[in-house]
Parts: sequence; structure tokens; C-alpha cells
Amino acid sequence: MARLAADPNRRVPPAVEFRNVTKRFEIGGSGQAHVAVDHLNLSIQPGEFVCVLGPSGHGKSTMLNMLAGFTEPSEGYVLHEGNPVSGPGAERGVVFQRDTVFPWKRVADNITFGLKARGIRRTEREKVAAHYLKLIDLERFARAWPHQLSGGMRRRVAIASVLANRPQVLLMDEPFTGLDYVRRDKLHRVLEQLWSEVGCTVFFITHDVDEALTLADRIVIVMHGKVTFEMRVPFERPRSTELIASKDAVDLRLTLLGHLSKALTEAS
Amino acid sequence: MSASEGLPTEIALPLQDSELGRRRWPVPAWLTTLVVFLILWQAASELAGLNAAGINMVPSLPDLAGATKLLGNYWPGGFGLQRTAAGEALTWKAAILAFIYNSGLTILRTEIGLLSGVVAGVVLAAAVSWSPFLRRTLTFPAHIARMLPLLALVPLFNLWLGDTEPAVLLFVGIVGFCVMFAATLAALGAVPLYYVQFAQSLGLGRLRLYLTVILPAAQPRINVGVQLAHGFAWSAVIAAEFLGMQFGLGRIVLMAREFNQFNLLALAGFITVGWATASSALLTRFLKLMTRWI
Repeated sequence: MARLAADPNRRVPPAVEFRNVTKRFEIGGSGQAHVAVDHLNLSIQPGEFVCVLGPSGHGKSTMLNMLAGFTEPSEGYVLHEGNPVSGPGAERGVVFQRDTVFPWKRVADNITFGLKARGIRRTEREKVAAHYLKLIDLERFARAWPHQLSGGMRRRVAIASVLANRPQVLLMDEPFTGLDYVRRDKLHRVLEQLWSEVGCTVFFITHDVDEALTLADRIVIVMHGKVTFEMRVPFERPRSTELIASKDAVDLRLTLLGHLSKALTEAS
Repeated sequence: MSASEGLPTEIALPLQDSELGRRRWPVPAWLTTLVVFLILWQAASELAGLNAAGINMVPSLPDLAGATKLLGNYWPGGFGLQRTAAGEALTWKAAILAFIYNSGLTILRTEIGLLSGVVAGVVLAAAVSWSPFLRRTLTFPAHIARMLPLLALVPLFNLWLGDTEPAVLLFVGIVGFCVMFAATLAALGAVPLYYVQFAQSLGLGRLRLYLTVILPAAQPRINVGVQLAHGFAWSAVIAAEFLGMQFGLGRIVLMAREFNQFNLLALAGFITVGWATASSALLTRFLKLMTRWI
């Protein structure tokens, strides 16, 4: 695949770049087009953890699907390390909102499934499985079937399955939606730990402002298929519940909520 | 170590009847059903009465017991016993041997025919689902074949292949194939897209994706097709034996009807249902083992 001309002022290409990307869908064979993503520009640096906030139906998941290679942009380029994304690949792992752990594979086999597909030897796979099972605190469940686990446990397995494959970019589409606060908080810790170990770039879609403040280096608001607001999160890691409840964090939350509601009000 | 060993308490197991304060019926449910069925059968026999020839319209339980020795007429000879048609007396030994021989023959015809039909149906459906070219060329004729009244085709198979074992096996196989082709296509089409996308994002190529994700994901629905095909295969084998074969449970049914032996007719029916039920239970157990992850 031809590499697009890089910005001469930048030495390392961004891990992820949306360059003037538009995505249109035809509405149910009616001939009418719906613009899900509209001339969107966004760059994400290697190792950066970016949370994308925004209302439902405003193009967040379409961005992720284009970046994953599940769908192509109608216009513009979606780039991974300077190369146009041309289809799904192991370098861009995806954690879905749905439960995608393969029920016909035991927990350890799920974690090493991608490695096996890439021809990694069994002894090496077993080491990786043991390592990640320890990280997600499911060592005793290596031989369990997924249906024997709780929802939160399966999410941990799904994340470990993707990260064990050592992707350069981790794409997460509301992966913790529907979980209670305690489980979600625990999973945030697991994700941060795994991310710090793997060092990959994270593109994380969420509706939850607190979740974004807990996890992100940078928060991007996407409304009507465009980036309408960006903000760096100035807090050190790990971010405790007390920190997220502090005045500084509350101010940031209000800023984000203000932008979300303002954009929605203008649209209506 | 089994999968359930050492699981923590946060995994909820279904409550047992005793924990819910329910008392379990002391007799197995299948035995209760069988006893109730036999009582109802005997009652039906009493109510239906006799036909013009003085024979019970619905054979009573003693009639059925009396018919078991008649099975000896269907022993082909061997183990020191000639056929009754050759002048040998009707004995219990011949009846037992005939029961084993005719049952075994019908079971083998069913299972071999079914196995070949299931394999062919699954492989062709997988190939059609895999290849756009095969999809374009084979789907339509395959669906036409599926719409054919299969049992009505038995005489045609009989004309083509004569009274031979391959004719029966081919017929049962085609019945199994038609069911499995449709069931497998539907099962493959119902595999959730997110499994495919997740596997692709893990770097799986097309063949590995097909073999290790799509087929296993479709397996529970394919299993339903296998169970349906198994039922159809038993109907098909009896129909095929009706027309062409010299031995087998279908042949006994046919001859019992020819000679107005209501009791033997019913007995052969019971034996067929018994074997079909037993083989279905074994098949279900095997399929459960194959999908023990559900």
C-alpha cells in the first residue's frame, strides 16, 4: 500500500490519523444519504490514550469501524502510522461493546487465539496466557468455559485476548457499558495496567464523562460527525475516585458537559 | 482438572429441586411416560374392539407379546436354523436372531445413509457459503432438490438402482443431505458478524476464520439440523425397505400388512420407534458432548 506524503514538520507519523474523512450511508435503499462522519480531522500520537465522547448516532462507532478496517471512508483517508487502512488486521485490535469472547474456546485458549493464528509456538502461548491470566486475576479460570464466568470476567478476558496479541492500536467501543460501578472501576484499573505494559495507542469510545476523565490523556468530543472540542486531561495516573470527585475534575466535567449540551442545543 | 473444579462462589449454579423445597417423583419420568402410554394403548385396544375377521383393531398388549415369536419368520437362515419358508419350525431362537438381524440392518442403513448425507450436506453448504461462484451455481438447484417430495421418490430410486443396499443408502443419504444443506446454510448465515470482525481484528486469515470461528459458531444450529435429519432418515429407511428390501424392519411392517397381522405390524412399529428413540438419545448425547461449551 502506498504511503501518503507525511507532514514534513513531523518526524514520526501519528499512530492514527483521520485526514478529511467523510462517511456516507444510504438509508435503507431509499437513495437518500446519511452523513455519519463529515470531513473529520484527528491525529493520535503513538501511545496516547484518547477517549471519544459524544451522543449516540453522531459518528463515533463509524470512526472506529473505519479505523478497524471494517468499513471504508467515502472520502478522505484513515491512516495507521502513515499508511491507509485497507482492512482489518492484528495491529489494530478491537474490544467491542458486545460479548465477543468465543464461547467454544476455554478462557486460556481465547487469550492466545490471535497468537495461535499467527503461528506462535504452544510453549510461548502458554507463557503469554499465564501472564495475562495473572494480570486480569483469572488464573484459576484458565480451563473454564466462558459461560462459567460473570459478565465482568468475560470483559476482562476479551481485553486480555486483544492485548495478548500485542496490537499497536487498541480500539474500544463502549467496552464497559452496562456494568456496575464497582466492576467498571476494577476494569479501568485492569485496562490501565495492561495499557501501560503493552504501550499501545488507545482509541476509546464512551458516553461516560467520568470514564473519559479517569482513563484519557486527551478527550475528543465528536458531534454530527465532526470533532467539535478537544481537551487534555492534566491529572497524574492512576486516577482515584477521590481525584475524579475533586473540584478540578468537576470543572473539567462541567466544561465537557457544557460543550456536549451546547452542540446538541445548536443542532436542534 | 475438570472445568468446574475450583470455581469461586460468584458463579451462580442453578438451584437443585431439593433446595427449592420440591420433592422429586421417585420413578424416572421416561418410565412413568412409558407405563402411562401402555395403559392408554391397552384401553384403546379394549375400546376399538374387533374387526370383521375377529382380530383386535388395536392389538392388545398380550397380542403384541404373542407376535414376538412371529419375528422368527424374518430370519434369513444361519446359526443352525433354516428359514421358516424352507420348512424350519418357528422358534424363539429364530425370533431373537431375526429381531437382532432386522433391527441391526435397519439401524445400519439409517446411520450410514444419514452420516453420508450429513457430511455431504454440511460440506456442500459450507462450500456454497464460502465461494460466491458455488453460491451462484448451486444454491438454486439445491433448493429445488429440497422442495422435492422425497418419500414419493422411493419408487424412482428402486427403478434406478434396483432392490439393492446402495439404493437404500443413497435414498436415506439424499434425505439427510437435503435437510442438512438447508440447515447448515441457515446456521452459517446466522453467525453474528461481531465474531467475524473480532477474529479479523485478531489477524485471522479467511480459511482459519472459517474453520475456527464460523463453523464452531454455527455448530449449535447445525446440530438442530442433524437431529431433524435423523428423524427424517428413520422415515426414509422404513419407506425404502417397504419397497425394495428383503429384510429390515420396514420389510416386516410391509409383510405384516400383507397378511393382516395387526399385532406384528404394531410390534414392528414399536421396535422401530424404540430404536429410533434410543439412537436419537445417543445422538443427542454425542451432540451435547460436541457443544459442551454451551
